[in-house]
Amino acid sequence: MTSRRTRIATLLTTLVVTLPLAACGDGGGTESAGGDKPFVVYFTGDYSGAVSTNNASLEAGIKIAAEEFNASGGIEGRKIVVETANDQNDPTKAVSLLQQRLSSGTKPDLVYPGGSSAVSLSLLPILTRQKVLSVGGTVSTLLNDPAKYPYHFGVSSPGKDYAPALISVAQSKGYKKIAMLYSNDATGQSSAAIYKAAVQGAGMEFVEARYEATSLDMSSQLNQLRSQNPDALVLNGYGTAALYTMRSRAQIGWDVPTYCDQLGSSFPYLKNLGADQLKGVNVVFSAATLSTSEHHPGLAGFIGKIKSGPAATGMSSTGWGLYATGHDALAVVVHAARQAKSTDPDKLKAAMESLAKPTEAPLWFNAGPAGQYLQYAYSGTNHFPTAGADTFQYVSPGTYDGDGFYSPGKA
Amino acid sequence: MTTVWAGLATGAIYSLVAIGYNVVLLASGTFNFAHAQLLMVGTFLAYTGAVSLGLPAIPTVLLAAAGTAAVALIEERIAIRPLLGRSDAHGALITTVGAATILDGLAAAIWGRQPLTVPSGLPERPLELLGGAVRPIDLVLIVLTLVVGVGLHLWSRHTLTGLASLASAEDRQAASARGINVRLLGVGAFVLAGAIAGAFGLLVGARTYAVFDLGHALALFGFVAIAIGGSGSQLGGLIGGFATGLIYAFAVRYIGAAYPQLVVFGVFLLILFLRPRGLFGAALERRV
Repeated sequence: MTSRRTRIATLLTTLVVTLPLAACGDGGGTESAGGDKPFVVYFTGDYSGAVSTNNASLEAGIKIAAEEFNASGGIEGRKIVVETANDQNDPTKAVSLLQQRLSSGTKPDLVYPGGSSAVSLSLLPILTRQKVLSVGGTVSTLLNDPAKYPYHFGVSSPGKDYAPALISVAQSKGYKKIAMLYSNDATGQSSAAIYKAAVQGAGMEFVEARYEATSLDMSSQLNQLRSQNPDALVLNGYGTAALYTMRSRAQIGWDVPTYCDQLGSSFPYLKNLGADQLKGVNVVFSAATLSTSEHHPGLAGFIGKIKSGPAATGMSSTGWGLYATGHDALAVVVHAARQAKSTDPDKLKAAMESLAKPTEAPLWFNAGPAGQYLQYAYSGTNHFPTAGADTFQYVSPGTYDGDGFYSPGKA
Repeated sequence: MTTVWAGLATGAIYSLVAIGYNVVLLASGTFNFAHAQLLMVGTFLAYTGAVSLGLPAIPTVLLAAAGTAAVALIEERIAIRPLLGRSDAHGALITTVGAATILDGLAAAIWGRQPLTVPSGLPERPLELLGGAVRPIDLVLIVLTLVVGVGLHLWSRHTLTGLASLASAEDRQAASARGINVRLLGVGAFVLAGAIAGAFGLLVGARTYAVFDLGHALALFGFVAIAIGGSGSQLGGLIGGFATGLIYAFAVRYIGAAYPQLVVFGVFLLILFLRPRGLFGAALERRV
């Protein structure tokens, strides 16, 4: 009997305590369902794997952007909230996490769809079905398919935008035959297809050799290319593959002018190789990220926030450019929302496809102080930015300075 | 000739993996799939000694050898010892693969995912030798691998401990009945294989850099080397490794850069069909 009384008392006490809380929750829910509910940005990336440093830079950039735009009233009056998910750069995991998120009842307003094209490609069918806007920094040409993925936009230059820099150098130096060594995987083959088309399109001969991920030495591949007497070599590769190539190139004594592609250029060569192994090597960078370029007026403040933030250590390996990719993904959407005066996904999409060119310094940084390096001239058939003729420049390998600018030829 | 030197230098690393597989296989009957990862750990310990601690070459080699031997001992205690005496003989294959995965993850967590330069102390400038260019580090790696491979072959055939290892590999129970301490031999084999892998960490790291996923490439071709040369034969593993490196280099140079793996595995399959025990492996009789 005592036990029954105790249980009833416990039940009543629980009801008394929880009812007001439930009421509070209900009130909150009603409020959040209104027009001023937060604008949710769902950022999925690799927080524990091989590219976690890059992911930290992207995330820091998007969070700095959210903070910056929230300070000036958010996006069309809605506070920007960034949610994160660790997809471990695994498309299957990324899809599973996104589906969990969508099954929670509310959809995010914007998705940053992962740090690799494979992850982005796995998420886009779901995002398209759900009519969720996504803006990312991944650059596979398969992502630029507005008919298939009408709500996805890119903020980084696709690989093909880097090839004109090589053609420009090749024509100025009178090269007739260009060789390329690339990784025998999807990334390498995609890069080779771009350079082959550009080189042959410019009336030059193109010869090629591949290497496997398991290769520990590149001297045989390089000797094979050397026997065909090319005037220059294009290299695709990152990490040990890039190092093995440079070392093998020095070992066989082949100081042919060497031009790294977009991937190969991002590797910190000076940390691992000597000047004699890098003789004649050139890397390609956006003029906006070079220390010698004219800077965006808002960049100093952005860099200051990066340096005082939790992901400051990544600055020496990724420069400020990767942080700006995260930042710019949100900045472009904010610009579109101001133009559309709405955050409705269909209206945002329409605004993105007819984005007005900013009259002052743009809200985004990777395009330069006047937006001259990268034009977000999206249309109904092109959802990727367009680089200017002199956006990408070949320079000697260098390092990032304390402010994340690339300094060519400085150890 | 430059292609020959490149093939021999890469082949020397495959030989080292095959030698490590054979040391453990001969003494304990276990195939240690994590041996390539022990070589990877050796490169990182060499980096720690030479760069982080600023030690000269000899103390660096000793540090890497002792450290990798300790890791191998721990692997034996955790991944092998609990399975001894169990009827399921294939359990160790799975646990050593697990150990390899753990070692990859630990290396990435401790030393990071970017390749680290291991300084050998030898000049970087290539030498002209027999009509080809070869780096001094590659030459030393080739010679020392030959010395260790031949030394282990002679040891396994002409010393009491070596013969006890062979007996233990053939029949653990019979060897035990004849007074051979098979458990100690097994532990000793892991420690020896680890010590050799660690001792070569400086030379291997100077060629491949210290990188957490190095074991993947080495394990694959180390396995091909042992299959070509014959499992259980130190001489076979040594020659199998060099042969794999040379076939790979020549296939890239003269057949095409798209085909080296196809050619290597074609040779591998051919040997499996024509001589399943490998070029130097001994045929075993088994009652069926």
